[in-house]
Amino acid sequence: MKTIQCLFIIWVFLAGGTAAQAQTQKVSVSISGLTCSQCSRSVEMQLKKLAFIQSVEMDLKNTTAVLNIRSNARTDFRAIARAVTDAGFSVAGLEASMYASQLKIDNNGCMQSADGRFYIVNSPLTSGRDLVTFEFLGKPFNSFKVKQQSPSTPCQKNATYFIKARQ
Amino acid sequence: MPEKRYLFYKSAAVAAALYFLSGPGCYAQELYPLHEPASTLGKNTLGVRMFSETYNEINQLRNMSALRLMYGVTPKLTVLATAIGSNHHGKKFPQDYPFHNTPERGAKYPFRFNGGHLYAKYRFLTLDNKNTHFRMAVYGEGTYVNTSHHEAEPNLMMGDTKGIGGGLIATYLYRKLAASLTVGYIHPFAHTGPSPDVSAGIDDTYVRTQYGQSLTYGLSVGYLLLPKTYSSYRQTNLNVYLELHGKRYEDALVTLLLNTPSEYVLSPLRYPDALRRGGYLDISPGIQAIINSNLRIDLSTTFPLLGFSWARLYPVFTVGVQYYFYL
Repeated sequence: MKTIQCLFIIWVFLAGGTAAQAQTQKVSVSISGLTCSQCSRSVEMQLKKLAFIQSVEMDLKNTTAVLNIRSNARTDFRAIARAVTDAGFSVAGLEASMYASQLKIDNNGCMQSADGRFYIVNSPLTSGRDLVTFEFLGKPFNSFKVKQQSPSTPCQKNATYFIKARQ
Repeated sequence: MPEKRYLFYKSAAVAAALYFLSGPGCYAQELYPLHEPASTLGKNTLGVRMFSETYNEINQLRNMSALRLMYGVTPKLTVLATAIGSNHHGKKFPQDYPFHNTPERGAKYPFRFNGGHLYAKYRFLTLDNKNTHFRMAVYGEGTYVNTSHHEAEPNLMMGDTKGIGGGLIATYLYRKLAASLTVGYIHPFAHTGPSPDVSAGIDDTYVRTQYGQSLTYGLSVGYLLLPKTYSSYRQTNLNVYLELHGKRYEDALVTLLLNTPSEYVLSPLRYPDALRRGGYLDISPGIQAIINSNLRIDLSTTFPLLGFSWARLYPVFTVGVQYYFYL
């Protein structure tokens, strides 16, 4: 736990930061149960209702939605998952490209940002890159069981996103 | 020789099935022209559908048309409200019903509003995976119409009879194969109406007909013909369907000279075949185009496969047009 915190502080220091940007730049949602272009369009229309999404690019062949986030907007990841289920389908996975410089560590070992509270289950050290891709774990993003994978921490509350940095 | 022909057809069917199941990059379709799949509409999605059944009956076209609004109340609950009109039903039962003229073929009826149909579907099981899913839903429906219907077979969706119903839908989709099974029950309500007396100058007598309780069943299969690979919403989708559907229903119960001292329930032994218990299985091949991933146009034709329905004449042509609004 402490090792991850230390590595994260080093990572943020190396990455630097730009103050006026949104923490999340892009979100990729893999959708299961999709079988037709009309169904895919239904998902796109639900996602477009979310104010923080600037544009939606649906990959019909791979049943994936790539969401570009508005600058200075707060991303609600649970709202993204809800939009997919509101369209009648299921989230198979969610990944987000986030700026490390926007994440601030708190006393509980959680990462705080405008987009919410995060617990990173692995080392996020990635050669000083500021824009890092994180995989979201647990429901409603995928069936990965978070509690079995991470130590007990005050971050294990409903409002915390469990994420894993892509190395 | 017939055995060889049978083997040829069987081999062709197996080869076609393997071809449909093996192709990569395409997805099956469950937007059946005649049946609802277990999948539900997205939340706050409004669908508008117009559909129509037409068949030839003694040199005139019978037409039943409907305007349907569909709404996704929640991701799992969809409600449908349908207004139905037709030139299929008169206000009165036929003359000398049910001894003669039952069912009445060739009678001229003006096209008029028949009534409405309400339907709600709740998806209670969802097993989704990439390009595949298995879903189950329950449905309930009710129809109110004020029409005389001359056959024991009830029909709620096209408004032949009033009544209530419910059932279960299971839809399985794997790669190119989308199959859906529907099993339901219809509890029709009785209709009371006048029947002209054969003797001139005598007032109409009133007849009450309780239509037969019915089990309904359907199996639908869909396949995406075009495009071979999805790349854009602007690609027109072309789907082909094969739907089997039928009913088993009980005898009707006809009460004659209603509200008179001579009122009596006619023994079913004296009914014409159309008012007796029966059952059938129809087959409906269909084709569907979806334009801009929204405007859906269906065409299908129904033929008898096992037995037949007394309530329609074959072939029955069905056309449907549907569009979604994302609120």
